[in-house]
Amino acid sequence: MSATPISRYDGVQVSGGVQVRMTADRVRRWEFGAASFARRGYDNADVDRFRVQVADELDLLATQIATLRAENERLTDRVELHRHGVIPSTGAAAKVPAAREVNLLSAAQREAEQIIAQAHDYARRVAEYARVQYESYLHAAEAEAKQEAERAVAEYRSAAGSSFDDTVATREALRIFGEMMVSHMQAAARHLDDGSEQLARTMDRIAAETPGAPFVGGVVGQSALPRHQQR
Amino acid sequence: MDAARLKQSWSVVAGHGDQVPLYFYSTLFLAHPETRQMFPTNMAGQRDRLVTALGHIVSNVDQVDQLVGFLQDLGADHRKFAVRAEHYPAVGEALVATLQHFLAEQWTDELAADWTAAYGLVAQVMMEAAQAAEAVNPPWWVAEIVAHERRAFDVAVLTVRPQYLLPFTPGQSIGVSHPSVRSWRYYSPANAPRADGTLELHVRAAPGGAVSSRLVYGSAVGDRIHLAAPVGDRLGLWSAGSSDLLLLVAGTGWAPVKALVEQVAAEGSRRRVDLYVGARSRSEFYDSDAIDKLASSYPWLTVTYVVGADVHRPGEFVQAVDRALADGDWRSRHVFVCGSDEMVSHAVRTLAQAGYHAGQVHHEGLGAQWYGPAWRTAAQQSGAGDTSGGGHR
Repeated sequence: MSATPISRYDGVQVSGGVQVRMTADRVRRWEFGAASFARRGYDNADVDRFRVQVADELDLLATQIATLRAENERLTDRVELHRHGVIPSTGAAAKVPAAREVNLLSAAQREAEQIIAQAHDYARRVAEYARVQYESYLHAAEAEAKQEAERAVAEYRSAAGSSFDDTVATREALRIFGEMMVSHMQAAARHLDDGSEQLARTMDRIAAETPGAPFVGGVVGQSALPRHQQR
Repeated sequence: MDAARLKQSWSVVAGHGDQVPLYFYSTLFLAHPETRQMFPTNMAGQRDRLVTALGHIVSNVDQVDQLVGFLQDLGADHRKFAVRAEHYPAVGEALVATLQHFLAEQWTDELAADWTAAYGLVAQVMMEAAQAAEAVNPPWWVAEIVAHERRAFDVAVLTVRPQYLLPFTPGQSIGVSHPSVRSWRYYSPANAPRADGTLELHVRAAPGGAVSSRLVYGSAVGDRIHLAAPVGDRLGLWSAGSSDLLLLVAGTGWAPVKALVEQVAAEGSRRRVDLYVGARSRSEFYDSDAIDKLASSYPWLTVTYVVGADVHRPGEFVQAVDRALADGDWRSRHVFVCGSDEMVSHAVRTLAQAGYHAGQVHHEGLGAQWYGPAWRTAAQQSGAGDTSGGGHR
């Protein structure tokens, strides 16, 4: 504030040429001409009080202007940021944005959409891979369980000889088949739990690294759904 | 206003393809940054819709009586995007800037006047319709999720209760949006209208689907979602008269058909209904408890499950329509088909080849029919709204 340099403060007003701005200092140092003996001059006390008041007022105004200018610059920057992202604007004269800016934003939008599409495609492939894995695992488990059941029946048949009972054989086959499937499913469930824990840890790490990413946070909460809530 | 000049200039501009809507939206967002948050992050689908709607408007610009209905529906529908009167001039500015950019030296003062006048008219009709619609419907209904069941890895069945009654007809779709996502998807209620106004929604999380993923993975009982006015008349039971039915469904395409079955039960007409439910594998029958319950309650309903993929015969895929046609001759019946676009087109093709005529086969429009000529017919029956055939994958 009061940044204007004071070249002369000898009380002589500069006339013509450069207009020297009134500053608090200039007012404070201003020398009124002496009153003539014949006439009553200014009351010195009044003049001094006036000078102090004007100086204070100017100080206040200078401070306010500086504050407003800073605020104005900050807001202009904010508007620029909102309008153009990181792009600095050139000549805000026209209300309609320039083609160059428009095309830049369009390119950014396109690129964002490509990234989104790639992420979606990747997710789709992962899900498809998991589905195929799941089905082939289930298929293999079923085949193995069936084989075990058939072997048990064959063993029972050879052991039982003439006392062979169809219902006993069926019951035995179903029991072994069921046990095998249950143990396979339990193994798969343990496997999935490990994977899900690992995934949750990864998601937590990502969420911690990107503060203010609401969707990631939301998914973390939901991904921890125990499997028994699903069917 | 010179209609021929408008059409000619539009055809020049439209020749630039996706660049045109891209330029339009970028201009809009730069000049009015506050409008960006009204649109989803991914704008690809949005751009197609804009061009479709604009093309439809321009090509009918000299048949005002036909256009007015379309624009009124459009205006009423846009209330669900929280579009207000002050947004219309902003869109007009961006549209003119876009046309000017692509027409370059062909852009004249007369053309500018034509387009400004035409847009002014369009905006006025839409704004007036939006205001008139306020007296009929809310812009959207707030609904609370009262039940949320994960039925499969990617399928959830939700029960929602709208704050105000949301009237609909079985077979129609309603708009669904989550407050945190700025896009809408269409889902058919899987129930006939209930006394308590609750709706059952069957949602499959589509890869990259902002709304569907949020509904399946990111919402729970007590959450609030937004619903929009029902649309669609192609799956209505009225179009089948009183004849017996053959229902072919796959995946969450079961939802509107479940509503139809409930409606048949409610009307007490005792028509014969045969239902074929298709899925890729057995684990994807996400609503079999309810289906079995319906089958055991109603002697007129026969249900057949069709598992499409067989691990012993990879590469082959049996669809509901294939099994149904192998089982019998249904040509005296009306057929309702609902599922993915592929499933529906396969079924419609197969039925046509087997001698079924188009008037007896009912299905929703395929894929994107947003804001094009077909949207109007879909919306007409229900008064206001839009539709997407893509809700039942």
